[in-house]
Amino acid sequence: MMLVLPSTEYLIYSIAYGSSLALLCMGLTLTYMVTKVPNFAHATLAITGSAVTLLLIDRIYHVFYLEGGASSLGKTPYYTLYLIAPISAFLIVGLVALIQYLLVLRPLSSRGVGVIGLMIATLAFDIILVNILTLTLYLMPTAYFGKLIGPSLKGFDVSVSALGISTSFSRLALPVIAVTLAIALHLFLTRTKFGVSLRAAIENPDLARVLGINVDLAYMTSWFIAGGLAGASGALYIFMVENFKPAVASLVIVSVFAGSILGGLGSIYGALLGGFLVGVTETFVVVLIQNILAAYGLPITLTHYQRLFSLLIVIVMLLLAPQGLTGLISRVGRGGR
Amino acid sequence: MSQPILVAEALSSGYGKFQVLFDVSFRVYENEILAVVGPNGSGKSTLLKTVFGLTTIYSGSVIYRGRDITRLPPYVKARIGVAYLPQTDNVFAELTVKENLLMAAYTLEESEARDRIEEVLNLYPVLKERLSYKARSLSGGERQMLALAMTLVRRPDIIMLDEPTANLAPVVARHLLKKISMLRDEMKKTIVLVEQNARAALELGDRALLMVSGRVSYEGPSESLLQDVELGKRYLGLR
Repeated sequence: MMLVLPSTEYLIYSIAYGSSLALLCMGLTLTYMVTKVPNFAHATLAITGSAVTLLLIDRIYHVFYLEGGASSLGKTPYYTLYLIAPISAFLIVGLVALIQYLLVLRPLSSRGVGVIGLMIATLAFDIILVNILTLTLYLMPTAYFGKLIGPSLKGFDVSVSALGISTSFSRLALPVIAVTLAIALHLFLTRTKFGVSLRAAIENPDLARVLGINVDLAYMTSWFIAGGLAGASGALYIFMVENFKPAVASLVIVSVFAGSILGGLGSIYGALLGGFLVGVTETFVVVLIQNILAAYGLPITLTHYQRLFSLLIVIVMLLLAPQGLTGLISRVGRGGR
Repeated sequence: MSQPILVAEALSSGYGKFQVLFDVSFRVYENEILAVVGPNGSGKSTLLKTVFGLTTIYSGSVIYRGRDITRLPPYVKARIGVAYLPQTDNVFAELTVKENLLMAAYTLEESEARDRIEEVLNLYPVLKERLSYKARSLSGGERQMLALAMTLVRRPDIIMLDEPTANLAPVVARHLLKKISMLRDEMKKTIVLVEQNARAALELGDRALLMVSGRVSYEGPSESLLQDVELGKRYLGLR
């Protein structure tokens, strides 16, 4: 009986995946706090970020490498992509999320459509978006897409080796960018007048209106930020996957809901923690349990069922602590009352 | 008597298709406290909400300083000097006291906002000690004090208060009513006060408006209503 621990490289991947989910959960929770509707299209927004990155890199590859620009730039564009890709994806996907709010949720909401109706509307938007992305990627008439079988950016990732550990640059960049964005969002919401007004509008829109705060602008900004976070997450995540397919969003959304529910759905900080924990559970913890079972003579491939663990987390949390980690932490803070 | 600062003419309003007010007319004069009293469900709170533009208005008008403000959105009314303090949810519970005051001064220039916040903090020194506390951690009285301070930051001419003493301990309620009378006497504000405690409201008010089933049953001096045994007994539980 010999227990094999998951490798350090896998732990790094796990942290990167957890960071990616954390960004997604923060965005989902933000839109939930604003519209009180779970956005089923949220994972597809991340996939849109992946698609934006794919198209962006394709253009750069096309222009600089196939049309002779590479001689002057060398390999430099690869590194700069880690900055350009998430920023571009943040802006473009932020706009897509804003369009979803302005064209779908706001008009329906103002007509008095209930939560169920709005949820179905987000599902419909999700289906439309997935199909648009699939079609766009299929029709992409470029050299890069034609050269590889199934779009993937793994080949563009850069290897990094230090302290005897070898990993890819994207896996290191994701946690750094996730933490940076989380801190930036925190500072925006607590240190700027507009950020505070956004929190005020989310908490009590009627009072906010009475005080002269433009609630509609605050809601639009929230949706833009939520979409932006999803886009940035997807922009970096695509460097780690093979055979990218937009339909994968229907699986990712399960993990995003799990992380958001674990966080408590009422706090973006809770969502950050919840998303990260779900991400690490789905990857590192699952492999760890799998290895432990193997050590006891039960060789079951649990990695095929990683999202089952997310759903288990949801069930356990809803049964034991429906307020999520945020509620649990504040209960502990109040001495169990 | 001075000129009316606010005139409501034949107001009919409600929530969607559910009508609550029927042809309600009244006047509010400069630097007075108009006490709005009446039994539960008589439309007192709806009256304030209607003036502020938070209900569906079917007909009638609201004139403020000679200007028709009936259909103006609430935030515009707030900017031109009309303030409304709801009975509940009148502060942002998850924001700190300082952030709440900043939001009250949202439409003001930064330096002006700073001065006015300093001004109201001097009026309510208890809030000065709680600036970094979240509003949800304040006591009921402190919360109402914060709500009042938030209203005053915008230096309104007329303040409409919806049951400010609801759910407060009697001693805290008395203290708050004293603060409200100070707004009239020292700061020369005009107040429309909806209050469940009819006796306290009538004692404080200069004039009174008695609402019954969405209609005005009496408008006149508070003192007269307080001494009207018949009306007091039937609608206000006064003996």
